[in-house]
Amino acid sequence: MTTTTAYIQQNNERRKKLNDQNESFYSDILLYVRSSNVDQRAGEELLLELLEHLIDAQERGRRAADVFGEDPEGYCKSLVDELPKETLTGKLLLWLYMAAYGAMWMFGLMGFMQLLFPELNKPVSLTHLLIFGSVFITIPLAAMVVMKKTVFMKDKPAKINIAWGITGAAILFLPYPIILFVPAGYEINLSWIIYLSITVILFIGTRLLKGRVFD
Amino acid sequence: MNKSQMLKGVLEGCILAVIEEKPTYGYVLYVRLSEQGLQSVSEGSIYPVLLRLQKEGLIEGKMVKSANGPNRKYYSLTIKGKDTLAQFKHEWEALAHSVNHIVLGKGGKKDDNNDGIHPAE
Repeated sequence: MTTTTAYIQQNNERRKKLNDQNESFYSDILLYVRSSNVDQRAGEELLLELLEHLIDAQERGRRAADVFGEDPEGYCKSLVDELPKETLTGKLLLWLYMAAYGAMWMFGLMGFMQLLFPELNKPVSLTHLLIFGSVFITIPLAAMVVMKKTVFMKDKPAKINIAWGITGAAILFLPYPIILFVPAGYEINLSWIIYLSITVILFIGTRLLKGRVFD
Repeated sequence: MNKSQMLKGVLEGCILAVIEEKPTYGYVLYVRLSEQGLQSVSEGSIYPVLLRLQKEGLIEGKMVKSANGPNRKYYSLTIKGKDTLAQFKHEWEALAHSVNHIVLGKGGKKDDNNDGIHPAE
């Protein structure tokens, strides 16, 4: 397990110590820091530090607002401004990891479909795959931006639900118009052995990348 | 004058001085500062300062796993941090001396005899 993942797990565990009010205040800080362009490890270290401080404060009967102030957004900005930024290599590796991970599942599913239902055998268009890939990466990313903007809004729950609703709907329904209206270019029809071999290669690739992405 | 503005520059020096005594983590650092009279420092406001001091290479943090308790990030001074603190002490001494002299009167003590009128040279 990498250091960052260990920090995240520890954070999930320790957060249970907070009462509801403090938990809700702290979760907003957590969401803001995690969705900002900061070095992941430095960000998680800071979040753990703040969490332990808040747990100590809670035992002294203090509220999160007493500790972090009445302006959580301004406070978070002052933290994020001072945190080291994510490097370009780090960002590219994360994108590569996400793309490889998505492709692994896709090729895996396609391999098993071919294997189990050979009669459904249809050629696959590379153009379609590329568009699906970009849509599936762009939409959740956009939803994250919306979420960060709305973290400290009063009517946040409704806005977050709308953001995720649109994301879910887009992912569910966009593939159909794409298949219908975009001409299927570069069709390939490979046997399940090839699909599953690609899956295995991508699986090994993502395992190797994981250590570099979440250091 | 805005009290918090004035405090901001001094806070970095005070944090360096507390860390110099012995490596410490955020919560204890806050307690030490407020025990020594810096009550107007709000608890959370030390963290942006700690991040800035790390970025400037004056302190370094190390996560220490404790056997039964939570992980704590202990801060210690770097060589650059020690130099900066020495410089801060020097500057503060000079500044405090002159400010006392000007604001409170000669010798750094309140002087009520002159009724605020400068004595003739």
